Amino acid sequence: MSHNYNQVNPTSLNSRQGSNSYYNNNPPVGAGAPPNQPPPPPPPPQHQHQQQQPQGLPQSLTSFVEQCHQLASLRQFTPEQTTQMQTQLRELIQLADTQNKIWVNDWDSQSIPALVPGVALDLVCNTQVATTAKHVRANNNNGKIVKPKPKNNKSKDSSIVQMDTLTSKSAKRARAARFEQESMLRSSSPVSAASASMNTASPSPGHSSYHNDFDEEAYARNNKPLIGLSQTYLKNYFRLTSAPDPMNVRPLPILKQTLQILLDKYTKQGEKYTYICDQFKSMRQDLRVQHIEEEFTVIVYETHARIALENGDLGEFNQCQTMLTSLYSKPGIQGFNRLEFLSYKILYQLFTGNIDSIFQIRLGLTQRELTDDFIAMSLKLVKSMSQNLLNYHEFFRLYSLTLKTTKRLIDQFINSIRIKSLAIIVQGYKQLPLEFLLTELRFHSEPECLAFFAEYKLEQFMELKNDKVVFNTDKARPTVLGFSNKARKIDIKGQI
Amino acid sequence: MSQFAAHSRNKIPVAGSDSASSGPGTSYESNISFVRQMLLLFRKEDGKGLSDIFQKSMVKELLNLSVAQITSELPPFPKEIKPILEAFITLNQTKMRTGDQKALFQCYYSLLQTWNKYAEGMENWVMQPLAAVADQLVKCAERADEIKSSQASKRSLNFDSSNTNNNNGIEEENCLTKTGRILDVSKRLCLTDRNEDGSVSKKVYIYYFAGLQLKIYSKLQNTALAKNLEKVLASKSKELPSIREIPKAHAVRYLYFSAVVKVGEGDYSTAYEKFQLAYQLSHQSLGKKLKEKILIYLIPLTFIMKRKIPKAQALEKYERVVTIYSGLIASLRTGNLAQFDRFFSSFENFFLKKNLYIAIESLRVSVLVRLIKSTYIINGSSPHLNLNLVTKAIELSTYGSSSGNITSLELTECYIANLIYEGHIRGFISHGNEILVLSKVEPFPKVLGK
Repeated sequence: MSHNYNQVNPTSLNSRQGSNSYYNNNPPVGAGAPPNQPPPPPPPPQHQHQQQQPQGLPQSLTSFVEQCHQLASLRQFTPEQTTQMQTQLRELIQLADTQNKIWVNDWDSQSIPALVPGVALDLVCNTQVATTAKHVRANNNNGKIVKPKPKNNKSKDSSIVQMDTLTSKSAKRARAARFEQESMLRSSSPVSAASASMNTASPSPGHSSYHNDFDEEAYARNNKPLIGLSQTYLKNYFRLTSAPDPMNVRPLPILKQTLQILLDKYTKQGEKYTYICDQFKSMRQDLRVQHIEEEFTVIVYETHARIALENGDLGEFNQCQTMLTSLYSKPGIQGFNRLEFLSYKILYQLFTGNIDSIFQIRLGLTQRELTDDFIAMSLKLVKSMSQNLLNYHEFFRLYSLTLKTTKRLIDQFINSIRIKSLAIIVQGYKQLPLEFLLTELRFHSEPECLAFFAEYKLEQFMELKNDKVVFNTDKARPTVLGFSNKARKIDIKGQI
Repeated sequence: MSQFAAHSRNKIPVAGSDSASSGPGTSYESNISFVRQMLLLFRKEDGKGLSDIFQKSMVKELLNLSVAQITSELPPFPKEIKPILEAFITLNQTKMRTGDQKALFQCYYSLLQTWNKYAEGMENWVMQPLAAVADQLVKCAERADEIKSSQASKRSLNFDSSNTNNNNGIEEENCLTKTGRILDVSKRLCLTDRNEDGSVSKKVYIYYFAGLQLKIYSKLQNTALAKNLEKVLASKSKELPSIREIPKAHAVRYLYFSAVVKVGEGDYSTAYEKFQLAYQLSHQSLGKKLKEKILIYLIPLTFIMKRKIPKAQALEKYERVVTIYSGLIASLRTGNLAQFDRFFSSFENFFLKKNLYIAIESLRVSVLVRLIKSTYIINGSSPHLNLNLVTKAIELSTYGSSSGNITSLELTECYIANLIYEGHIRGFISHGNEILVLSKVEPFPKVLGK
């Protein structure tokens, strides 16, 4: 049985790089694909026009079509959906052509039903109503190019197609238009109208009076997702102090490559954790402001959680864990590692003495989930650490069977469990060979064991008897009990 | 029949009547006189009479009435009563129109709100109808939540995964949670009643609402709120009436749920006292089912507190209790670990739900002590007990003789160290000699719960 558990490999960072089924299943948005490459096949009308009369199409139309395809790939359209969208594009352009409105129509405000459900398939200049949609915002920026300015990219990723940057003036104009449209849309329902007004006024003076910082969480909750336009892979984490600028937010395809780059840096180039953690935080921020909640988001949080544990960062681990719990509950998210991470939650609650919440988790588990290797292991560990009888023998036996992330999580608490066990041991024995403690408390090596005893000022109770090191439990009792009482107050940052 | 009713009603011109169809109500005149009676009950401060009306599953006299009609038809009455009438009429008309529990919950919720408001300036006669409304609100909330959760599980099966945008970002609060919160208002009415005269003070009802809230929290598995409520009550305990002076049903419900919270906190002695009191109060008057519920806690708690095992005859008539605990009782007597483990694993979820998990689990330690003590006696009560002997005993007791499972000496030592630590055994382990050296005086002291 224990052998069985050993064979379970938590999806490791290394295996993730090579054979991630998630990436392989989604070729259009795959990590390897350059983000701006239009998915095949391009709509025929556009193609023809471009071929026959090179100057016959306005720039805004081309970018409109491009944006539609980008959006389709962002939303991971099925082939049927893509075909439907292409048919609609073709119809629309033909309509514009027959009505001679290719140059008249405001392509920047154009939308199609395939992307914006409920919108009529008509030229925007015919309807006279400013239709709007999320993707149009992106269009607004993109269409009215003022001055294509190559970005000053320090990183080696400059080979990627550079998006045109905006002058601040046109950015302002675009944003103003966007807010206008949004509040128009939102005023239909009172709740969203309120949030729209919050949006326009942000950062509002009233808001900042009681909250000095810009509230990222609240922003993400109350606002429509934006679509990032940044094409830079790496970005340092900054806590937002105002509404995020799309130019500094990376869209999903870029983020997917960012993850790969970071994993390479971490596993192959030995990049420091502080840097990796910072980069992951900025990725999480970009995902959040864009409301991207899908398998990729899960992967980012899971990966960050694992890396955080490898580096003893329980605070970040906790934040990821909290977010993962809510992500797994979202419909449409498969959560392949849900039970694995649930088992970490159980263990974390165990070590922080939150037994009630373990019971609640347990009650919610199905019979099938209970037999999951990760869950079963964590529950066995819970059982061994019962407050009625601390079965340290069983606990450390199980500990020696754990692997990777599970082991790293336990490692964060192992010494406090050792001292608790030792408190029981010193009551039961007068003396013990050190060797017994070495194996019973599963120290990995003699130096580790000695370091532990040194840390708790217990080396003074080591005695040499008949060529054997003996731990004088009788004398050590007060010291050990003092530490074990202290160990009960565990201080951990980060939320549960 | 309804045609007749419609006919007779139509003869009387009704101002502002917008409902063209008439329900199965009685005549307009008798409807109005019913309301007149209700208003009279309000004036007479007849809590019992009003509570009878507000408990009815449907009041057919109100199905075709509006408050506008009532005010125009009847002599002026206190305007504070108007919202209650309005909410009550809406409730009954909604009941006739729909079986939608969510809609009904809203109606009951508004009705309790109006009562809460009305009760502020009144003496404790208002609490009886208010409590009746609260009771129905809780029942309705339970039904609405059940329906919602069964619908939710259906929906999640065929969810359209393409729509990942955050329409479902904010999850709707369930009805019981809302109910728990509005009951706070009712409870506060009782807590803050400054009336010196105990006979008219609303404080008598404090345990009614506290019990109702604890019941809700237990259903929601929200221990934090339950603990908080207990803290508030404890801080006000001096101003509150004695639990023996209030209606028994209120007291028993409160004591039961409060004791369940205490069991979860590991405060076995307080829990034991509360269950005992609840059992005494319910002894003559209350039903077998309730007693069984209490006994499910009292049996393990009595063992923990007094090391007493109930006699088989005493339990005979409580079949449910016997089904659950016969295995436990036998294993405690004989030190049979396998039997205990079988019993525990088959009721594990039950004990988790009842907050009893840790309490019952602690009894395994007692079974273990029993086993070691037996081994000691069989070994001739020598103060030197061979650990290999104990190991063999544990192995046999845990797995039986046939299986190939082996208990290690280290595990035995770990068990015994724990038992020494907790004071169940007096002595120490000699690791080198593989023996347990027992104290000559009382090597197995009785450890009573605290």
